[in-house]
Amino acid sequence: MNKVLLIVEDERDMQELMKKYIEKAGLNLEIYSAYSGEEGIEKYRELMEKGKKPGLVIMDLKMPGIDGVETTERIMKIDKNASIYGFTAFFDTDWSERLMKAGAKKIIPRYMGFEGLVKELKQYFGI
Amino acid sequence: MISFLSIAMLTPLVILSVVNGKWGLYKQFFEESPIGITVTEENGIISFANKKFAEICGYKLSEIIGEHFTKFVAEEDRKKMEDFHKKRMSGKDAPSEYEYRCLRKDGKIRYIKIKMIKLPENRTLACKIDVTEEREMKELFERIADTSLMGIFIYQNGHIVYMNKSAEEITGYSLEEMKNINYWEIVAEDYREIVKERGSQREKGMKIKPDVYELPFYSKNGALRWGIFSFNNIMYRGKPAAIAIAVDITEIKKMKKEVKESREKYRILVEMSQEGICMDDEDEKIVFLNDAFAHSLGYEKEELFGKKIFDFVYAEDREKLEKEIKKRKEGTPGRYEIRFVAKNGEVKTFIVSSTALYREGKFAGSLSVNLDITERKRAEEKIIESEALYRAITEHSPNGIFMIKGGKFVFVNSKFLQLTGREMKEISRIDYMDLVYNEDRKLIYDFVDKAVKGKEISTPEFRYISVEGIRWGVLNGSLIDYKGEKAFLGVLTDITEIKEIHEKEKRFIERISHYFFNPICIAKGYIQLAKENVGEEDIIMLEKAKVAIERVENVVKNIVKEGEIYE
Repeated sequence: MNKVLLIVEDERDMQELMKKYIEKAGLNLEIYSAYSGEEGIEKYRELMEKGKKPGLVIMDLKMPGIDGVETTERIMKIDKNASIYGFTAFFDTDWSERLMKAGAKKIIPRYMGFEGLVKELKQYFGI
Repeated sequence: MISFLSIAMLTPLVILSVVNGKWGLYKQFFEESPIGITVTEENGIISFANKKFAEICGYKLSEIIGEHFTKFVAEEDRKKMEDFHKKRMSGKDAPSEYEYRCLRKDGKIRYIKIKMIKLPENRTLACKIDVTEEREMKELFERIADTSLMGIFIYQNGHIVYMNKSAEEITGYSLEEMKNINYWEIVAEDYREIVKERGSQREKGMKIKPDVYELPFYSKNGALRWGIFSFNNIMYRGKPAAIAIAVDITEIKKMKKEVKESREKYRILVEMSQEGICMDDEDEKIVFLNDAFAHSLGYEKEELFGKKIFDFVYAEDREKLEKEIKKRKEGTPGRYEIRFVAKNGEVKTFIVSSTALYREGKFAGSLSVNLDITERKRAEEKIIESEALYRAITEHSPNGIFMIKGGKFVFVNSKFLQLTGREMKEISRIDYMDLVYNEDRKLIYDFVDKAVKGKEISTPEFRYISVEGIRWGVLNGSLIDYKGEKAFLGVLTDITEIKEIHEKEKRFIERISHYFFNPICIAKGYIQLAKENVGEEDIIMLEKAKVAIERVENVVKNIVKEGEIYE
């Protein structure tokens, strides 16, 4: 599996913290950031074209512009085998259900924290 | 009775006395004879006449002797009698016995039966009997017989010897035809022997009883007819005979039979009738009723005969009945509703159709047909109650209730009109799908389709079109029988407000999630990182800060997940 991680998250603090925790955990992932849904789609396409198709996409739900659901739908159109995890405060809502319907494989609630996220990544990438 | 037999017996004596000149010997006898006697000379002059002849003619003897015999003959018969006389005098044959009309002195005509005896020396002895009364009686009988509507038969020696016109009409036979057969041959087989036997006895002059009875007989065309026959013994042409007077009662019998059958049918109809039939007299006393009426009041018929109809009328309806009876007495038929009290005290309601009865032009009571509608009334009352209840439920229902048949609304309650913002007139015209939001039409179509097919279905949330805009509703319903056809009875529950509240709640939770979990997550993340670069005391303080944040996080989590505020 390609150890490329694309994080689609509009909050910079969140982006920074996720990277710090991943690095601290020594997961050795090649991390790319997108700060909106549109940017996330472009980044995914770009990475695919470069032969760096993300092994996993961490997707926020509420973002300026298109939300995480639509972003997921569009990425799935580009790559029907794309793996997307939601990392969102909107767990247990219709919104998160729609994200799953759009193609996300899992929802990681924000209250799990970054350590929880790292744990899921380790498990996913088999590290 | 005077007859020519006595004359015939006297003839030799008369001839002898006249010829022998011993006239004087019998003269007194001739003069006193109850038969008119004359002796006429060759020239037609009467040389002798007795008192009886003078009495018949109304002349004195002195006015007769020496007169030509034609003086005492009616003009119509004179020539005939002169011709007979001339023939007799010239030795030719002439009738010796016949009838002629005698002209009396007073101009009246008498009918005379005459017997002529030729005497020597061209004299003629004539014996004359006045048969006027007898003839009048005969004429009277014939006229009566001819005009009688009753058949008159005279039979003698087993044969009919006289029949009047009515007898011919009744039997279809003429007298000539009947003469050729025995009268009993036309009598019906079962009665033939007895008729023959009795007839034979009557012909012998025996008095037979009964002498009046009904008898079946066959007319000439073979039809069986009935007559009432009255028999008696008579003398006919000097011999014993029997007379039968008959009235054709075939039609009466037939009518009687028809009336009997009709009465029987009527009786059965009345007795079988489910409607109570009652007849009361001018005093409102029951004179006839059928079982249906008696039983509907819990009585047997016998218990009600002679009772007044007022005895059974519910007290509050007495005045009404009095008014109705007054109308009957005025000849107006009526149809009205009235209550009677049954034997067990139950008040029963009837619809009465009543008409007046008259006898000899006077009011004689009423005939009524009484239909017990008690159960129907109760059912109607229940329906009214049920309808009132149903109306109250539907009209006060917080839900829209409607019925669809053939795609059209056949019933909606006021709540439905309120929800859709439409009037009944408009609703009854449109197709029910016109009220369903376009995107949800398939959903509703499938729901109704499944309901119509009797399938179990979950109630869908859908959007419907109100005049004010799109609203949310939940539909429940099922298939029912309505006026003999299938219809869909539906209940529309408006959930627009609930939906809006849910939406608000959802958005609220989403906002809480967003605005609390993100900062908390970030805070926790930085605290954790900070702990790695500070001293022990700071680590303890950061840890406390982290715990405090986690407490807030738990509260928020519980709000989001359970809607409850607790740690």
